[in-house]
Amino acid sequence: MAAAAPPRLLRSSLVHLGATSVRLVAGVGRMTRFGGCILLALVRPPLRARKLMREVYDTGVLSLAIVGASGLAVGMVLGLQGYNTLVRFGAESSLGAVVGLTLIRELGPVLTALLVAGRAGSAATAEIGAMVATEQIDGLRMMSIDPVHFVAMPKAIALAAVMPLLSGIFIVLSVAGGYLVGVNLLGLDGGAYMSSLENAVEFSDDVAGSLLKSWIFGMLVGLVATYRGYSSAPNAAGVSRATTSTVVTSSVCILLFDYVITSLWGF
Amino acid sequence: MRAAPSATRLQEVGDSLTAGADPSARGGQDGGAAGSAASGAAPAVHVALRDIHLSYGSRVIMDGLSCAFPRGCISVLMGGSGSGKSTTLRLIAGLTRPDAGSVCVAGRELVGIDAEGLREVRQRIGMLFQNGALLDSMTVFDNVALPLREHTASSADQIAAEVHRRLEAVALHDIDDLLPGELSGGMLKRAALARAIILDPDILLCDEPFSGLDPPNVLRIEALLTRMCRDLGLTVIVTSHDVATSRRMADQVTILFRDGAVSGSPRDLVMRRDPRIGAFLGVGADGGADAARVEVG
Repeated sequence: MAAAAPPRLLRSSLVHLGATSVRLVAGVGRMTRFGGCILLALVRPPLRARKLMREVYDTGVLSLAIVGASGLAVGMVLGLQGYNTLVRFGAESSLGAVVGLTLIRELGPVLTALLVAGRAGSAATAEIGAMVATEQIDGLRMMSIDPVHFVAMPKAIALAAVMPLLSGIFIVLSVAGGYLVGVNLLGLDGGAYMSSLENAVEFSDDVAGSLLKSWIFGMLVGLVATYRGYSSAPNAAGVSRATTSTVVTSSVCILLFDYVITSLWGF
Repeated sequence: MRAAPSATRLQEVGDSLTAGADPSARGGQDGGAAGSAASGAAPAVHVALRDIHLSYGSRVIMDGLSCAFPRGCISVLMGGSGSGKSTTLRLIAGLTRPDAGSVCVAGRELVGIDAEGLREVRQRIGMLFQNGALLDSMTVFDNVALPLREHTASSADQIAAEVHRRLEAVALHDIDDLLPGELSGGMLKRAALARAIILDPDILLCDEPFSGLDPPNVLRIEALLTRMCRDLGLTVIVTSHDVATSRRMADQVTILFRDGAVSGSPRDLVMRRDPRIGAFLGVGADGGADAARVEVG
């Protein structure tokens, strides 16, 4: 007896799922190939140092205010919440260690990457997308200038380079925020805060791992931002979609990779 | 690295322009492929498209298009909106690849060409995009100097001199430090033209160079293109809706239709008395009188 045909809704859902999966895999493949082009461009002269410096300024220096303010606020909240929790167990003197480890191992790299993806990543996508829409990228091709080398590579490398630095600044200001609340507002001993922090944090395990995480996140944001801009549709709606996609894709990738890195290397 | 472009070639063109030369001074504007054709022999084909098929999704843009553009002549591409004029230029520039067919530029086949080959071909092509396509994060000077910095070993002084020479040729002065966003539409187009010709290309592709320009600037650009073609032997391919300008400057007019292309000198096309052609050249079906009008330009 012939098997009953699957219901139409189930069949169309499966078709849709299959098509989406194929699109997703093809997209990942194209993005990976684009990443390869950026790496090749990095080792091909000229270095474009001036452009790189400008991008470091745009993505790094101009992100300092938002990263600094957010870091201070997160540290103050952590200090407050941590103190209120630890005091129940009489362990408030460990506040420095709790704030420090939480920030260095997890929150610092992740939140910084999310902030930079929202500010500098989206800006990079919008700029490249606008260049696509106004034929500036084609103009470069017509001058026999590789747009990946001229436009995408400096932006992607700048994002990868500034991310660990911004993360470091975020962490330092967060620890200071925790100190401000724990010591200056809640009356914890300043020496106890700092010594618990110093005793708990190991450079090779915690700090180096944190910097490595930030660097990987920076590469991810750089790749996603430049690829989305480069592949955007040449019109205003296309640039808008690409910019939104950069923030969403980067954020999801950061959170997924955070888990993968933590589970693989224990950072 | 190629050598810096010759300083004198365009200087002569620029000098004659700034001396107030009139584009209409060119002889035989309407008498067929003027330039080399005026001497009797048919000019060699520089760019040829054969049996081009191109679709965007389900929308067919070109269905077996074939046309050729002679060396050292000004060819004007005309056609209705969406007929594929800009796409034809993009095919010649290697910016768009056809689904099928052949694109031959200066004897080299672009379909299936590798990246290095395409780079070499493009170094012989200058392209003026419809909206200029100047890099908006760079000043006008840096935009025009960019090809020289990338592809020649010229010193900073040589580059500055060359850039100013080209800007003067398109009648732009004292705008070195302005950003493209600070220029008017006409200035933007002229600055983009200066960039397109800075490496002395063999082929110049111009996408709607006259749209948005005031009449004096139309005449100025027209004169520059005409003299570059005549004096430097440049092959110029222009897309335009401007009938009067096309008649004045074109050695060959190619009109794109859904079912193919029709090419010829403006006079030859008018003489065919085809209403479809007449619609683009601004003449009616009563041929004779209209043809006389064309000669007046």
